[in-house]
Amino acid sequence: MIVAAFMVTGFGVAAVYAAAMLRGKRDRYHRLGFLVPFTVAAALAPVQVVVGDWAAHFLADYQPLKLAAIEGLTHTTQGAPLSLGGVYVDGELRYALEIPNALSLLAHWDPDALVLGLDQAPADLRPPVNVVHWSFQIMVAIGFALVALGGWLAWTWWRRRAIPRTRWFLAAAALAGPAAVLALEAGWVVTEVGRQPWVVYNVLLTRDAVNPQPGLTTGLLLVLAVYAALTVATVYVLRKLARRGPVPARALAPQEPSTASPDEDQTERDGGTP
Amino acid sequence: MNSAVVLLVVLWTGLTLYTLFGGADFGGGLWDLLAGGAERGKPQRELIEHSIGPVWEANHVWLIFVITLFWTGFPTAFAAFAATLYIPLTLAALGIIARGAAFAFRKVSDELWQRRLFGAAFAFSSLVTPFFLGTTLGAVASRRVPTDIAAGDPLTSWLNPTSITTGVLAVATTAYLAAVYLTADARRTATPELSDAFRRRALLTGAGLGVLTLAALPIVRVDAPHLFTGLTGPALPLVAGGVVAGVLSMALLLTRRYLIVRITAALAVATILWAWAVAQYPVMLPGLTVHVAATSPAVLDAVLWVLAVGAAVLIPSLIYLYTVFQREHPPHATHADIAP
Repeated sequence: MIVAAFMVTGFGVAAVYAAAMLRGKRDRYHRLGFLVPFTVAAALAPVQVVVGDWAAHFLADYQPLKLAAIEGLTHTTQGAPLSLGGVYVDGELRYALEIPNALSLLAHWDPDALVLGLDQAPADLRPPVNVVHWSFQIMVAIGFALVALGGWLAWTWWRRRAIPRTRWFLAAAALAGPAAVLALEAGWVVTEVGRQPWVVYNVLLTRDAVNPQPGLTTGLLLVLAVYAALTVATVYVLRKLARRGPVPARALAPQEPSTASPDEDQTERDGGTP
Repeated sequence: MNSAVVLLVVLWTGLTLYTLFGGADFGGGLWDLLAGGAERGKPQRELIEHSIGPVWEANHVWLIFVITLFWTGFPTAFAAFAATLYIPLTLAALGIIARGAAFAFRKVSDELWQRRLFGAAFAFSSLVTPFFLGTTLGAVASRRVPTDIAAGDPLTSWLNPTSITTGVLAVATTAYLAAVYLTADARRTATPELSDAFRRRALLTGAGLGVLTLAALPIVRVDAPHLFTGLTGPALPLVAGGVVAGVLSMALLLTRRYLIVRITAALAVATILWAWAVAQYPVMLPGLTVHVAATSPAVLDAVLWVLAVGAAVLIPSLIYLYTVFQREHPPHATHADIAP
C-alpha cells in the first residue's frame, strides 16, 4: 500500500506535466516536472509486483477465501490454474482463459500444490466473486502496463538520454496518472470486498459490526454530501490555481508563511484598498 | 502504577495538548467569525491566518492521537463511547474536515465572495466543532454512556444539561485561549492596536469562562452528582489550582504580561481538565473501571514502548516547529519574497 501510494503520487504528478508537454510546453521546467516523479513511480512499479506476489502468498496462508474469490476458484484444487477474465455464474467461472498450474505455482512455488477453493466455506460466507475477480484483473493489468511504460522510458534513456519522441508515450504517461488511481482503488476493492462477509476474517461479521443505533444512513448521506461539495470546491480551486500560472504569493501552501515579511504584507494591503 | 494507568495518563496528556493547541486553533476561527466586515476585519483575519497557518494541521494530530490511543488501549469503553455518541462525533468530524478545507481554499481565493464563503465555512465549523466534542465529554461525565454497545440514547446522551454546559465551556475555552495567544502574537508582529483588541477579548472571555464555570457547578450537582462529589472531593486541590491560575491570568492580562499569561491561562484550562479525570477515576463508564476496560497487558506494553520511541522523534520536532514560527523574523521570510 505504501509503495502503491508513492506510485499514484508519482504517476499523478507526472501526468500533469505529460499533458502540458502534449500541448507543446517542452521547456526544461516541464521536462523535469515530468521526469522526476515519473522516474520514482516507474522505479517502484516492479517493486510493487514483488510486494503483490508476497501479499498473494500471505493470502494463500491466512485468507484463502479471498484468494479463491480473486481467482474464481470454486473447488479446492491440486495444481490449480490461473484464470484470466471470465464471468462467475452459478458457482462456476466461465469463459476464462486458463493457464494450467500457474496459480499453484504462484501461490505456493509448487505447480502441484493444493489451493483452497470457495467450497471450503458455506455459500453464505463466501465473498462476491465477480467484483473481486475483475477488480484484481484490472489492478494487475494496469500494474504491468505501468511497468512496461517505465521500461519504455528506461530503454530510450539508455539508448539516447531522452524521453521517447512519439506522442504516444506522453499520451500513455498522461493516462498513467488516472490509471494508477484506478489500480489503487481496484486493489482496495479486492482487499475489502474479498474479505466479506467478514470485517475481521473468521472473527466478526460485517453485519454484526455495524452500530445498531438508528439514523446511520442519514449520517452516511451527510458525509457523502459534504465530500461532494468539497470535491467540487477542490477541483474549482485547483483549476483556478492552474490558470493563474506559476506560483503567485497566495498559492503557497496554507502551512507556509506568506505574510511573513511586513513590507510585502503592507503592499498587499494597500493593493487591496482602492 | 500499572500499564493501564500509565496509558490513561498519556491519553489525558494528549487530550490536554489537543485542548490547548487545537482549542486555540478553533478559537482563532471563532475570532475570525467575529472580526467584522471584510475591510474592517482584514488585519485581524490576517493575524489569525498568520498565527495558525503554520500549525493548524499539527494541532489536530492530537485528536488523532487521543482517538487512536483510546480505541487501542480501552477498546470496550471506546466501542460504547463511539456507538452511543455517533451523532456528535460525526458532526465534529465533518466540522474538522470542512474547517481545514475551507481554511486552505480561502488562502488561495482572491475574489471577495469566495473568501467570504470559505471564510464563513471555516469560522462556522470552528464554532460548532468544539461544541460537539464538548458535549461528548459531558455525556461521559454525567454517566449517560452505558457500557453496552449503543445502549445509550442517541440524542439525550449528548443533549442534556451537563453536555450542553461542557459544550459551551469548550467553545468559551477555545475563544479564551486563542485571544490570550493572539495578544502576544499581535505584539510580536508590531500591531499594538490589534494586541489591545485581543487583550480586551481575552479579559472578556476569561471573565465569561469564570462565570460559566461557576454557573456549571449547580447544574453538575443536579445532573451529574457523582462528578460533583468527585470535583469537591479528591479533585478539589486541582479545581482550586485552576481557579488560582484563572485569576492570576486576568491579573497578568491587566498588567500586559502577555507571554507569562500564555502559561497561566493554559494551566487554568489544563487543571480543570485533569480535575475532571481525578474526579471520575477509576470509573470510565458506568460500571466499567480503567483496569477492566484496558486491553491485554501485552498490547498495553507494546503501545507504551511505541509511544516512547515515537515521542523521542515527535516532541523535539514539535518544539522546533513552534519555536520557528514564534521567532521575530521567521527564517522562511525569504520564501515569500520570491513571489512577484
